[in-house]
Amino acid sequence: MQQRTPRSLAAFSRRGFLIGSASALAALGAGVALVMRGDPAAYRELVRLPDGTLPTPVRLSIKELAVLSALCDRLVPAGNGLPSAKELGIARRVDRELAFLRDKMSDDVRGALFLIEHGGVAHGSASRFCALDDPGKDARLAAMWGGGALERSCVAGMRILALFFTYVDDRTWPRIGYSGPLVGHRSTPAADSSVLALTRSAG
Amino acid sequence: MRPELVERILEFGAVTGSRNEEVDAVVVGSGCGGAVVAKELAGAGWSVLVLERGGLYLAERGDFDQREDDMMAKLGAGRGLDTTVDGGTAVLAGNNVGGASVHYWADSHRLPRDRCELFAREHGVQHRSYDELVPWFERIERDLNIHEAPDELRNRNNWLFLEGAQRIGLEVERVRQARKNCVRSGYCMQGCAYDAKQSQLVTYVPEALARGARLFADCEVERVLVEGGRAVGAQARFLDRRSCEPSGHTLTVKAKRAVVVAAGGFSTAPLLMASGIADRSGQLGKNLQMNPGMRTLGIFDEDVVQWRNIPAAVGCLQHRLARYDEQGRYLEGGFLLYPDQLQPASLAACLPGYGEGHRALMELAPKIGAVTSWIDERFAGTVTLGDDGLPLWDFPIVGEDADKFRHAITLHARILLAAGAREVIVPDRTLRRVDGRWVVGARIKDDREIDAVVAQVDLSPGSIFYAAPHPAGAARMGGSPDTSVLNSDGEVWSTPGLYVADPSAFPTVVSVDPSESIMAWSYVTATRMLEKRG
Ligand SMILES: Cc1cc2nc3c(=O)[nH]c(=O)nc-3n(C[C@H](O)[C@H](O)[C@H](O)COP(=O)(O)OP(=O)(O)OC[C@H]3O[C@@H](n4cnc5c(N)ncnc54)[C@H](O)[C@@H]3O)c2cc1C
Repeated sequence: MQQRTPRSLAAFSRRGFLIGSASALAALGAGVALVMRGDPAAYRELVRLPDGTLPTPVRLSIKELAVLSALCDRLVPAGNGLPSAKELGIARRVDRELAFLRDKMSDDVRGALFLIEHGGVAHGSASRFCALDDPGKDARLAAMWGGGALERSCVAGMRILALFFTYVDDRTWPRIGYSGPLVGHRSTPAADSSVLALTRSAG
Repeated sequence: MRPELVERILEFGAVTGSRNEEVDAVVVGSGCGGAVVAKELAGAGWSVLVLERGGLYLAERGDFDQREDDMMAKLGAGRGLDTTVDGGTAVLAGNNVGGASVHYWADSHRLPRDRCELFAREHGVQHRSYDELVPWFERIERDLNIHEAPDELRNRNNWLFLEGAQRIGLEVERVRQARKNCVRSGYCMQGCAYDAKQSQLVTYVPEALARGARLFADCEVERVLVEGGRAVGAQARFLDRRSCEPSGHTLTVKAKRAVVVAAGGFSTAPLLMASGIADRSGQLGKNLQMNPGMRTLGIFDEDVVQWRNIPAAVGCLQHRLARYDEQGRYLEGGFLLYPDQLQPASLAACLPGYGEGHRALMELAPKIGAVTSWIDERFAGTVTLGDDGLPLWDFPIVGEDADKFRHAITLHARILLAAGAREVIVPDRTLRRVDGRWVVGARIKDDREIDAVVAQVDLSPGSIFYAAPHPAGAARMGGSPDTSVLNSDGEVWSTPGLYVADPSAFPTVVSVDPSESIMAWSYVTATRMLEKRG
């Protein structure tokens, strides 16, 4: 039953968590080739790790990881003692988690990131999401969240991933008054996308 | 689980090659449905092999670490992230030895008499009247230590629910629980680290093994094998738990007497479709219902800490059945009311919005109480196979089902305000800027605001995040092969020897939490099978 199919750009030709349709994208003027425009170097800077190296995403491209990173920063903004999404490694965690899910999820996430990065034309702005300042990003997200079904489901799907993977991280617990599990040990799943696994895979 | 029983379970690490097996019965799935049948057939002396797609996790091995991410990845089908095709509803099912019962709440209800009568009257279901089920209910209640929840199992959120509901004149009752020596940790949905919750993992799975059944974990059935129109076995593949990919080793099982599919209400119909099972009724994959649910939040001035102690020691069942006027128009009801429980990360996903407004709410997390309902829906969706061969669940919330949510949210708000909440939050997509700050979700501070706010709540997919824990109907039972997939023995009309033993068989959802109903129906199915093929 669980045949893996070759990855395709068919995310918008059938419904996924995006309620996507080719016509909806065409209406945004994006066509169907989901290739992110924009300066590759600028995207790379968004995901560069503190030690200066670049992460190696498992399912997403560096550009997609960069958009996801920028998006997570606004979905769960740092402040009031809450670490930033980048510090928590949320984008990398989501990318790694996708490797353990059906391919459709990766397609949906890619489609959502594309729409968020390049969907500004529907709201009168040609600017890419990543190129906006924080208030600009918030305004873009608010417009999409309040927009049509396609845009809303993009933001809704990404919102859940970003929030869940933020608040499972122990570093956020002191901020929300959660004292954590009662058993005193960790038992990660065999297929692990956690920060521990990211650290391990980084060597 | 006793070590000698654990030895009867094959796990991925021990699979070194492809295998062939020959047994009397192969059972697909080890949840409430599959475990009962496996235990009964093994008890009658049949050789039984249970195939379970998910892994084996045991308290004594320390597998239940109470972390939401770790446990969702271990216990949740699709690692807890599957949704309906519109993304609006989380599809919740088990993926482990013991199935969804390992992460369930343990609320235990008998299948209501009115639903049994409906199934007989409108669908021609036989052998499953309420009176015929009573001996099975009694047995399940004994075996799973089902009893009314005592006061000490109420957390603050339960007490607030009780006080608020009683203040507005609702009848609140103790909810019966399948628990023994509960330590009130609050991690029911993460799998009980204390073996106190009486899931299938600590009840009927070990009993099936003790009676001689064997179980292969990490083993996914790809199709039921049919020869000459009869079910003769199953083709499966072993999965590597480390990658969630096939390991390369396969399994072919020849089943001399029966193939029992108990893969759960979301997965059984797709497996039958993938196997090319004939269905003259055209109902396979149709009539999919799932009890979509949501919660309404209340901010209190005191600590509620909803994530400790059990989820729902009390509840209100008086709105279980929807009421209609003489023209058949929906009036009210069609849901249960329960105090809600979520651990913090799941709470974060269910709170409204994102950004600074959401962060401000999370800072108040210990003070957030909640009331939840899933609806006993009238309309149904479908499950089909996608291009990739995997299931696609399509389920709309429309018509009177949307009205049921509005009525439920109205009562949630009234309960929370009566219990002293200073503000009620309906988690829809409302996002406003007030005095320079982002405010998320629809807000209610006073009873007089409830009707106006609830009328405006946006119930569309993605606005409210729904979750569906109780699938049913996609391979329904009935009195004729023209209108149903299964006969009243639980056998597929078109394919002798092929049985379904899970809620896919129910003609509709059962209007209460379904685990006891699933087990009771599986007892009947096993008994009918033994009478016919024993
Ligand atoms: C969060 C939550 C809380 C709940 N709380 C309650 C409650 O309080 N009370 C109540 O009565 N009910 C509750 N339920 C519902 C209840 O848990 C389920 O209805 C019940 O456990 C389902 O049993 P099942 O045997 O039908 O399916 P499952 O338990 O899902 O078992 C099916 C099994 O089949 C396996 N499988 C699927 N496909 C294949 C395949 N191709 N090959 C091999 N194996 C396969 C799956 O991995 C799974 O383990 C809850 C559900 C959820 C999600």
